[in-house]
Amino acid sequence: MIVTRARFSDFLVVGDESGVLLNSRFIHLGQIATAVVQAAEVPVSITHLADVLEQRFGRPASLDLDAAVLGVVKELVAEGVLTEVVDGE
Amino acid sequence: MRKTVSAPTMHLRVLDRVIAVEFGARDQFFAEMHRLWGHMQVAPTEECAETVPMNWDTDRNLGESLSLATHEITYAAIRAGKGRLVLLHAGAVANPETGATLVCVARGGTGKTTLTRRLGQRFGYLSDETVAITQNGRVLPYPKPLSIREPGQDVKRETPPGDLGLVPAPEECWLQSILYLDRDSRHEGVTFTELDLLTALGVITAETSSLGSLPAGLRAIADLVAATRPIRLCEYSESADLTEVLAGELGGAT
Repeated sequence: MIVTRARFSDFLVVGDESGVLLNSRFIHLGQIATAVVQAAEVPVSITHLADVLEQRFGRPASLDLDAAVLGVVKELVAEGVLTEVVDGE
Repeated sequence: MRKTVSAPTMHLRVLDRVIAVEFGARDQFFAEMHRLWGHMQVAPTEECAETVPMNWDTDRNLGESLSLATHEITYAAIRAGKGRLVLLHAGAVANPETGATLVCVARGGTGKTTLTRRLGQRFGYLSDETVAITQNGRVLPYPKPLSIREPGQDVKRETPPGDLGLVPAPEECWLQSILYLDRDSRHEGVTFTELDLLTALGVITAETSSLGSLPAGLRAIADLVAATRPIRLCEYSESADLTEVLAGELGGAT
């Protein structure tokens, strides 16, 4: 799965967290989601995002990192913050 | 030679632009509109941001037509500010001597007009519904007639600010602080809570107009907050209590 940022109106980072403005809808992102959105400025794979998060926050002891990242990414796609890049785009 | 007859028109200053309000006839509606909006009237100008037609053909009564006219003019004001101003669903009053302005953001029907009407007895009235702020913190006036609900009436009564004894706003008004109002009849007294920026953006964004059209809209609000003070959640039950607290904060006028 390859994802990148959706076309949102604004993205404001405050410390480790951030806010996204999608038209007039505001979404408050925690630090993991913020790091994902920051990394997804260009199209990125789940594996790449997992590497970015591991470098920044360390590897969680009892968690499948790729699966956890995929869960966060799917949530962000569902909210319209990220968009999936399909072949040919 | 046939003479061209132009439609009866009022030119109103809304925010920092002029709009032309065009009527179908010089009738009672036209006369009432002059009574309600005359304080915002300016000389005809070539540089109208928009012409707002009021020559709708319906069976509305006068009160309904005046209420609808207020909505139409407010929408025109929002369109005039779209993409360049921070537009908030809010009431605002200013210290008549210093121009320091308090902006009270709130959901519809939660007391903006009541509070603004009270504060406006002592402080300059800027708006009870739509507040526009430039990116350098200037607050632009939109002193519309107040829409007042009266017992037993479905349609709010439009009332010019002068009839309610509201103080005109000074020429230059600038943002002192933004409050997010939460009225709850169970709340005791008045409580202020400073909100962190992202939490504040979360509540304020829901009460903005066209923020997505403003380049870097979140940053624009963040910069205004950084230049003034954190947005505060204000919980209260009685607008009389809150009026006294806020009057003390704005200072000056007695």
